[in-house]
Amino acid sequence: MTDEIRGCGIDVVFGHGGTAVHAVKGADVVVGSDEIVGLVGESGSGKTTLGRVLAGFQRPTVGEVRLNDKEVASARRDMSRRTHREIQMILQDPYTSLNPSQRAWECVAEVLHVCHGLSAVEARREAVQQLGQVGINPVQAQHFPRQLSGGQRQRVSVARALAARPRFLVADEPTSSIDQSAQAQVLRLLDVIRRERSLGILFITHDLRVVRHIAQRVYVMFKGEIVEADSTSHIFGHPSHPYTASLIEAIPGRRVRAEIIDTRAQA
Amino acid sequence: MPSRSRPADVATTDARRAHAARTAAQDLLAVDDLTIAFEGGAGRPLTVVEGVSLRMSAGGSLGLVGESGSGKTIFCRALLGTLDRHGARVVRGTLTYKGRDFGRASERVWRRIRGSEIAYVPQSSLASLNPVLTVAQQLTSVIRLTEEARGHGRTDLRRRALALLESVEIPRAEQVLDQRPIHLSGGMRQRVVIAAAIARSPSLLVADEPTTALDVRVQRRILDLLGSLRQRLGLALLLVSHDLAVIEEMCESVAVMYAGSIVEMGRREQIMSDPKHPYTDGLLSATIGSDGGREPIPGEVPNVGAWPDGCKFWPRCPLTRWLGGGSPRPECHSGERPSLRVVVGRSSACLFAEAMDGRPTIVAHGDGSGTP
Repeated sequence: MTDEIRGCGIDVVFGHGGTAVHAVKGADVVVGSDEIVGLVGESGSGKTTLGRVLAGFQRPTVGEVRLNDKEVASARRDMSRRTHREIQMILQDPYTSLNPSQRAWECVAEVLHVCHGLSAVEARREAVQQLGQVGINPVQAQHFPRQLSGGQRQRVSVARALAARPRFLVADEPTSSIDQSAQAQVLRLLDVIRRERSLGILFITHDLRVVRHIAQRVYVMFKGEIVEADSTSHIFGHPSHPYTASLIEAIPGRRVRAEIIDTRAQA
Repeated sequence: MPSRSRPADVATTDARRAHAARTAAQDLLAVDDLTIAFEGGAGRPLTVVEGVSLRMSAGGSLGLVGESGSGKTIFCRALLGTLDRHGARVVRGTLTYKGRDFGRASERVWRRIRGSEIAYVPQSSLASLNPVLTVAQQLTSVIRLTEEARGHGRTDLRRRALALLESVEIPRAEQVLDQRPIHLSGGMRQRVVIAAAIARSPSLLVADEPTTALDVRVQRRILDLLGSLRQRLGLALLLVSHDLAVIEEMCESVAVMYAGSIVEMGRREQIMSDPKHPYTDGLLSATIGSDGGREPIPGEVPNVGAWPDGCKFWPRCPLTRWLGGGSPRPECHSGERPSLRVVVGRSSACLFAEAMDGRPTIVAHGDGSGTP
């Protein structure tokens, strides 16, 4: 069975009257199972808000979220706990999203206990084992978040999200606060779990470079609207919106840009 | 000259020192064998930067790259004379700026250098600006420190602050002057920080991850701004980043730092297209990648105090394993630290730098042909 989560005609308005902010305007997005979809835009473009709507953290003002064609959240209805579990979210800064007083294994074990009813002993054993799968060894599993590096912390939060056994992940800038090698690690990890678990991942980022190798499709968001949606190679090869073109222009590094121009010439 | 208590090779050390002094006179910045240690709690100092030597000429640009935890930031602190605020100090080597050694200079001496000669742009613009003061108040407090500002009135200082904001290409500069940091976007705040940094016409700008927290388009504009300021003001730029692509964009020379030491240094083209240290190679694969994606460097940067013997990179090094037929070469993990030596026109600290050419595709980048 292939799953699909869909945001249909999502509008999000914060506040009322003259000071109201129209954060998301008529956005349609879909993420299938076993695919990574990029959602790219800059601060204030509404990409995080849209991601939160899909993960059930934010009620849309207009529109609905559908899981396998069944409405699971709308302007009138919050997402049920059950569905919420199916769609996990990873945040940019694992330092603020992990509990500072919990050891790495504890924050994973807590999820195993709450979601799947594992006993304390089982949960602990299982947590250490699941952390191992994201490259956190048993010694590091005993550490508190502050004792881990940024990349390790982000991998712990990936393990925590996966512990709920979701079908979808919304990853909000998971690589923006870590260095390049740790970024490559997290990207690789997400790609592996996508394959192994047929997970659908919405990858939110401001940096097209990050999604270039791992996303099959990309949405480009600008001022609350999705201005471009296409396959990754097509977006890089033939950006149709000037904003997308400016995002590609802004990618640092001569060699990366040269490669992109190269693929364009081949296209 | 600070004396070094190392009995061996006195003659060569003297010769090297003399040579260093000669060339240092021509350089804007000459760092020689700089070693920095934290005052360890157990009474034993903990080395964080080890034997770093590098040079910068006036108006030049050098990129310092490495993973988090490689010692880049603490090295910057040495260039600003703020090591003691972080519980660290220079234990060996010299830091010569415009012909004078500041390695062990007092805070009083540094106060004359910091800001007026060597200025700093940190990563977090929010943390480095005073949240309760307006932009005008922050800038004029810096301008007041300049020689030319003596005896000038408030309107005049404000006019100078305005000119500074315009020089960093802030739109509606007049309005921005009366705003507080919280009202400005990340990019605008970083421009204000840059304006404050250049207010006293320094010769060297140390920028520590100046664009890391910013959106790509804003990052592009800030990098462009730094580039144009460099040209316009003849500033030398030391840019610190974990992103080789950003460094490539901005700097003519690149120094690659790993666990407190420089492992490779040379001109941009050499480093980017033909790395001669497996660590540089790993950074390139992680940053730029190829069709196969971005390849992480296996393992983690060793903690300060837990550096391995020999080459610090050997536990993570694919090259030494390939050369040793699966297990690392003994030369790599025992004995002294390999020092920098000239390899094809740049310096590399890899004992087997020459073997890099024949290596299999431990790296996913390169021309993509994947020749073993």
